[in-house]
Amino acid sequence: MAWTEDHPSAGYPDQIRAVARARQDAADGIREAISRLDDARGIAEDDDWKGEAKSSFLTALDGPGPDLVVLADGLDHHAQLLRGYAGDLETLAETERALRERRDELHEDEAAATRELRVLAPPGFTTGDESEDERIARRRARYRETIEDARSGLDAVEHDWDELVRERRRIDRELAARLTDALSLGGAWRIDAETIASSSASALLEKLSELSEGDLALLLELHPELAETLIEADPNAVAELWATLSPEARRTLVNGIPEIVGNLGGVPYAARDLANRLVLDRTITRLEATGLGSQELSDLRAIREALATASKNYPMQLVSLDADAEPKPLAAISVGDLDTATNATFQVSGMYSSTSDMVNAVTDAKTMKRTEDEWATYLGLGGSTAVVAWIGYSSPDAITVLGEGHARTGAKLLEQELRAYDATVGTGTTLNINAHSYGTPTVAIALSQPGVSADSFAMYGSAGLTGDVSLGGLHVPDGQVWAGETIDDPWAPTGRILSGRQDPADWTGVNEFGTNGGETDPISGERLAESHGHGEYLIPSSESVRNLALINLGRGDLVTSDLTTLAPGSPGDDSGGVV
Amino acid sequence: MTDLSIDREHLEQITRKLESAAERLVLQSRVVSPGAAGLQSPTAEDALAEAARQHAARAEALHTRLSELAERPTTVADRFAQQDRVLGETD
Repeated sequence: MAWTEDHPSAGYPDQIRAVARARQDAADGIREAISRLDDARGIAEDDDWKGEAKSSFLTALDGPGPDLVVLADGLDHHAQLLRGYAGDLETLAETERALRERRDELHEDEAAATRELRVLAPPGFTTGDESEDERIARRRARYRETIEDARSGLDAVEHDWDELVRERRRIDRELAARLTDALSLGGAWRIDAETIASSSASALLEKLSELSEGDLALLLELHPELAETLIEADPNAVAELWATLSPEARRTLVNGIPEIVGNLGGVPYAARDLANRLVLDRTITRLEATGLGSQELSDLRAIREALATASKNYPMQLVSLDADAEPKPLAAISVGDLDTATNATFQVSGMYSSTSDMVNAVTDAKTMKRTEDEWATYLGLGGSTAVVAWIGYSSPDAITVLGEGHARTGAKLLEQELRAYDATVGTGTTLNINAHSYGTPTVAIALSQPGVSADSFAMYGSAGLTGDVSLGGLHVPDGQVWAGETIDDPWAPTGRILSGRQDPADWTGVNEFGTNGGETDPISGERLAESHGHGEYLIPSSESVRNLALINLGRGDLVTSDLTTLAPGSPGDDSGGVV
Repeated sequence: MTDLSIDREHLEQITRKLESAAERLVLQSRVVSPGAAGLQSPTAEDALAEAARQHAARAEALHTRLSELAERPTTVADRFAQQDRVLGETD
């Protein structure tokens, strides 16, 4: 029920005070929590703890403090405001009661005088007794004066009543404003929907860096659109801003909005990794506690399992994670340090690939990195490598593989990722894309977009390229687009025929590389493992992996074509021609 | 991996304190629905309900953080140590 102009002091002060008491109790509880946290800190500070994590743990304990204070202060403030409002309502109620009584009295006076006036002889009537007529006239005048005074008094009451209504509106407005002001809610209120809509993404990020972890988490809950706005940020601007932030501000952003920072182009991959692992752990913990999202939980566990296979030679970074993506979580794991690697390769997977298969995808990335590193050592190439298992788009099934929808959506996501790579790592590194099956049209569309480029693009078992892409339209240097296919791959040609998409091997200027294996490596003399069908392109020691590694290292001159043919005149070619 | 060694008794004391702190953050029961506070003012009731929702959300986020610290103190410490290494030491 809302108050009305007939009853402007409506409300229940006792009930309001009860709510205020509950707020006060909650504030007291928060202050007790702060005290317990201080106790915990005191114990942790004890000299008996010698472990090197002590200072990190103390930092962790310090984290919630400021937000707890904001919360306790906000609840205190509410209690105070509500008590004040209850008091105001009581004052209004007294005024309302007094005005009602005054109005009733005046109405009564007016009615009584009117009644008396009616029973008096009408004006002009004479009793014949002059003194009696004068007495009647005096009474009439008195009653009229009473009526006039009563009406004038009623006007005053109405005026005061209007004032009462205005006062109620004023205290309502003031209460509503103060219940949601900075003292009540902390810093998150400073960034509202209008600010989000009107600010550039990098300006918004700068504002966010000034908030506390609690404010950031709260803000994201209140304004989920924030994630979309920020993800559109120019990665170059983000990289510039990130470089200027203090370690504390960076930590606050990583811990406060890890869902965003973990996928934000321009943020160093090591920081994205921290944020994404935090999201991964928290989401798994939440799903395990609620028993919901069993498929999502299973996929997220697969990502964690893949990360657990990291080792000294194969450090890993969870460079992107969308745990809530539908129908399945999306993620990308770099094997090798993507921030410092001088040679990076993104492996883009095809039909039916998903994070359920993350362990296998990472195994493939490790195979590629190991092969690249071995060849780099053999050939005396400097630098370091990283290979990214990129399951960053929703891949098609056997039906939707014939359409282009998944490729176009995936291309947009890959485009963002590649722009982010350029902004984060800068120039001077080599970027390669290896794509399998339906990953090939996805990558080809992305590499056709303005400003998106790679140093090489190798396709294997291509499901065919869409009609709008061409070799000349790919932003890849001449001679650095490659295609390979096993002789018994049943799916790649079927996919191309049924979808009507182009076979990249038909393009003049695309180099073919051997994938079948079963022969001896013309350089190392080792036997190259055979690859069969659509799913064995990345098996260890295969001709396919050997050639992809050499392409990625910029040594396409050593690549074998079918039946282990080396390019004439290459360093490994001592036959003078075909082997 | 960071050296996380800590005396078990110390850790249990810390955990108990943190659990106790987290327990004090369960505010959901104090969240007020619009119209329930007796204000008889839709404007103020809406503001109160919105503010209460935000308080509850902040409390829940803090509860999650404190619970995580209580339940997995060494994991959190390790995470913070990694953050120090990657993001730089905080003051």
